[in-house]
Amino acid sequence: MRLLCAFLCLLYLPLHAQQPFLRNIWLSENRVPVKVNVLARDQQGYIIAGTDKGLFRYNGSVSKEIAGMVTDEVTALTLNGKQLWVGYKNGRLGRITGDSVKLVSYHNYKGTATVNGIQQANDGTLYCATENGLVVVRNDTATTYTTKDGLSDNFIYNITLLPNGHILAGTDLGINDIRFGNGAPEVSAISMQHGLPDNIVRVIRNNPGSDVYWIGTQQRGWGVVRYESP
Amino acid sequence: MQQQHLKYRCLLLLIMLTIGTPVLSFAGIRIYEVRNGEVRFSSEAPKELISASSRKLQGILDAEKMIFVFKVAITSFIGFNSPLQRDHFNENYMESRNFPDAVFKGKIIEALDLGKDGTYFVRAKGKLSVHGIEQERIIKIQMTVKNGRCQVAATFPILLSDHNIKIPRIVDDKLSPEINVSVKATLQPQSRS
Repeated sequence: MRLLCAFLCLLYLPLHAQQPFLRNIWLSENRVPVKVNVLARDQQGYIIAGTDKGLFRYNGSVSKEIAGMVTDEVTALTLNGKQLWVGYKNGRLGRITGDSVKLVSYHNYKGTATVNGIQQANDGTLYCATENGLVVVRNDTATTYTTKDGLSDNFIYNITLLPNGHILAGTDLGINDIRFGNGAPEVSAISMQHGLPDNIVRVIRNNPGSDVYWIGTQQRGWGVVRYESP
Repeated sequence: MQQQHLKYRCLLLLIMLTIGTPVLSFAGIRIYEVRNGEVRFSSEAPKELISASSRKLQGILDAEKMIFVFKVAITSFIGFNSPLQRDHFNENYMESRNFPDAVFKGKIIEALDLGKDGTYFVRAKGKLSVHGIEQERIIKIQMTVKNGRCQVAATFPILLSDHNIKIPRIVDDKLSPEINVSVKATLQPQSRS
């Protein structure tokens, strides 16, 4: 009888092999909950978390806040080569250098609209997806492109650089395919009228090694678009 | 020569007025304003049901750009279960002296033709400002267009914590952390008066 009871008790023990690996990581030393917006890995392999309380670097054991002049919410992180770019909710831009963040400023850049995404092209041109248009930085000078320049909407969630030099921007009113020729942008947009599941396109990601791009939308799932290289 | 120049100017002005007037009329039609608007909210807590409404909704919609602004004064809400409850609502919870209005401004996501009769289900995306705290919201709206007028209806929840409205523990069974809001309004072309 005792053996039977013991056997029945053992049946209710969790079967560890069937449980997924989960581990909670506290980013702040005093265990204050933070909202993690973006994640990236720096050139040394450390995980960088962009949160509503700033930037944290996690080395697999402990996390440490990355000091900076701005303690605003981090909304964008991009690693380009050895450079890790940071975008903030208040519109500021920065670069992680060592254990600190250095803010950057450019001519004509007001930096008031939330930065949702950053991409850097091979020629060094910086492209920033903001809530008030696409910001392009060349030679330390920023130019902001909005609906006045042909974009379907100013609220840009995400941008992806295509091999042919075009920029795909996910906006509140569809996907904008932007090409810069002779300085002025040429924009072609696709929306729900062209078959998109939702006008609000929050994320665009390339399927590596192909012309296929996965898109994630606000309320109508995801889809696939193909942008062929010339 | 001077007389001819003057006559030419008068003729030009007359032509501009003749052509310009219908253009101005078309430009006026593109702006719609709220004529009859009502905002209702209700809190369903275990020990109390609270509801109130306001007929002071103001707002405009730019039908060409598909952008809008709607506003309601917090002190305009009436109903409640007692005058004291209304006072607490304004002074303790909403702090309406500091934050007198609730505002929702943004844009319509889906394409919409307000010149064509029909019922449209669209999303309004924008910033909802309540108690001084702004939150981005996407709200589903039903718009019924008929004879140049547009009926708007929407229901959505508001989390008090999203707008820094604190519920004292002593009343946490009388006030729901989530408030249900419903809006009904009639939009008409803006009058030029």
